[in-house]
Amino acid sequence: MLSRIAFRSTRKSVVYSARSFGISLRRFNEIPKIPQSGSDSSNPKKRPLSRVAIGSSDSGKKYAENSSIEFASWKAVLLLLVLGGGATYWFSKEKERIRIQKEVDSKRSIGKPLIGGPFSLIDTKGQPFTHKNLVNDNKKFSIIYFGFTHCPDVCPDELDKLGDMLEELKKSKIEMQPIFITCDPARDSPEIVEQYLEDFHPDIIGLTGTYDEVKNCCKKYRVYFSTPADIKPGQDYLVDHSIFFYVMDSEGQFVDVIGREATAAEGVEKIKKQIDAFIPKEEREARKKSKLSFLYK
Amino acid sequence: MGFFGKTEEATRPPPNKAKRKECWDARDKFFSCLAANSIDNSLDEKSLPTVKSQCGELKADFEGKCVATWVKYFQEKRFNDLTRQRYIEKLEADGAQPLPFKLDNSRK
Repeated sequence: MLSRIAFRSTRKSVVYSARSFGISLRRFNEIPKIPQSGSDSSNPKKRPLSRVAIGSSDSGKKYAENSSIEFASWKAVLLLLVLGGGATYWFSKEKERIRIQKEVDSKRSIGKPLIGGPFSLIDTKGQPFTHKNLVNDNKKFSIIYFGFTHCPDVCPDELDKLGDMLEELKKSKIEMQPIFITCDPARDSPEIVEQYLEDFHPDIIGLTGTYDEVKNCCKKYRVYFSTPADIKPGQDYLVDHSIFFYVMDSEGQFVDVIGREATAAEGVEKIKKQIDAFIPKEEREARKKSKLSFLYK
Repeated sequence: MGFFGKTEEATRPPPNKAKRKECWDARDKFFSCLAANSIDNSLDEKSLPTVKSQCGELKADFEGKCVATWVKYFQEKRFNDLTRQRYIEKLEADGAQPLPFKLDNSRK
C-alpha cells in the first residue's frame, strides 16, 4: 500500500518535470514566483505566463490531493492499524514461541530428562517398540497415553479425545505417532490390546510387555498405577492409574502433558504450539555457537 | 470395529465399544432413577431396600450389562461426585470464589 502511494506520487512528479522545471519548483515552494532565467533559456517558446496558468489550473488540484494531507487520510490510518496490528500479533506469537523453546530447553539442559527415557515394549503385532521408535527426522511428534483395556469410563473417553485431536491435527497437515501403553500387562496381551484399539483411531499403536517392562516404562514416565494385590487368575479388577497425554518431540524428548481437564481443542492448540517451537538439535547447537546466541537467552 | 475373533483365554476380554455403550446406557437409566428417588449412595446398606423397591429392575439390568467391577466403580464414583458437587455448592454459597484459572493436569 505504501509503495503504491509512493509510486503514484512519483509518477505525477515525472509528469510535472516533463512539463517544466520552473513550474514544479514553484509548486514545490508554493510561492508564486517568476520562473528562473535558467529554465527559461531552455524553453524555446518563452511564454511563461500562459504556461503557468494552464499548468496551475490543471495540476493544482492534484497537487492539493497529493500534499501532506494524504498522510492523515483514512488510507494512512488503515495502513497504521494493519501494520501495527500485524507487528503486534507477530511479536506476541514469536514471544510465546521463544518462551516455549526456553521451557523445553530448560528441561533438556538438566541432562537426564525427568519424564521419559529408555523403555522396551512390544506392539500388537509382537514387534519390539522402544524409545528409539519415538525418534525420527520428519518432525513427527508422539503422543503417549497410559491406560488399560478394562477401564470403565476414563480411558475410552480419553482415547476418543485422542482420536478427535489426531483428526483435527490432520486437518492442519500435522501427523503424529499416537501410542497407547497398557498398565495392566497381566491381562492386556498384544491380541487384547489390538482388539481394544479397533474401537478407536486407526493410527494408535498399542504397546504391552512383561510386568517388569511395563513397570519400568511407567516409572520412566512417572505414571503411577496400582493393581490390587492377591488377584486370582481370571478375577476381574480395575487398575488405578494417572491420566495424562505425554507429548514427545521427534527426538524422543518430553515436551508437554495434556491433562484430563483439557478439551480436544486445547490439546490440539498445545501440540501445535510445541511443534511450531521445536528446533532440531543441530540448529539448537548452531544457535548456541553463533554470534546471535544472546538473542535466544 | 468389525469382526472380533474370540480366542480362548484365561481372562475375559474387555468389553468392546458396543458393550460399553450398553453398560453406560443402563447405568444412566439406573442413576436417573436413583436421582428421582433422591438416593445418594446406592451402595449404602441403609438405602439398599429403597433401591430394590424403587429401582430394582433397572439395577438388575445395569448389573447384567456391566462387569461386576464397573458396577461397583460407577456407584462409588457417583457418590463421590455427588459429595464433591455438594461441597462445591456449599463453598460457593459461603462466598468462596472459583479459581480464576483452570486446574490442568488433575488426577482421576
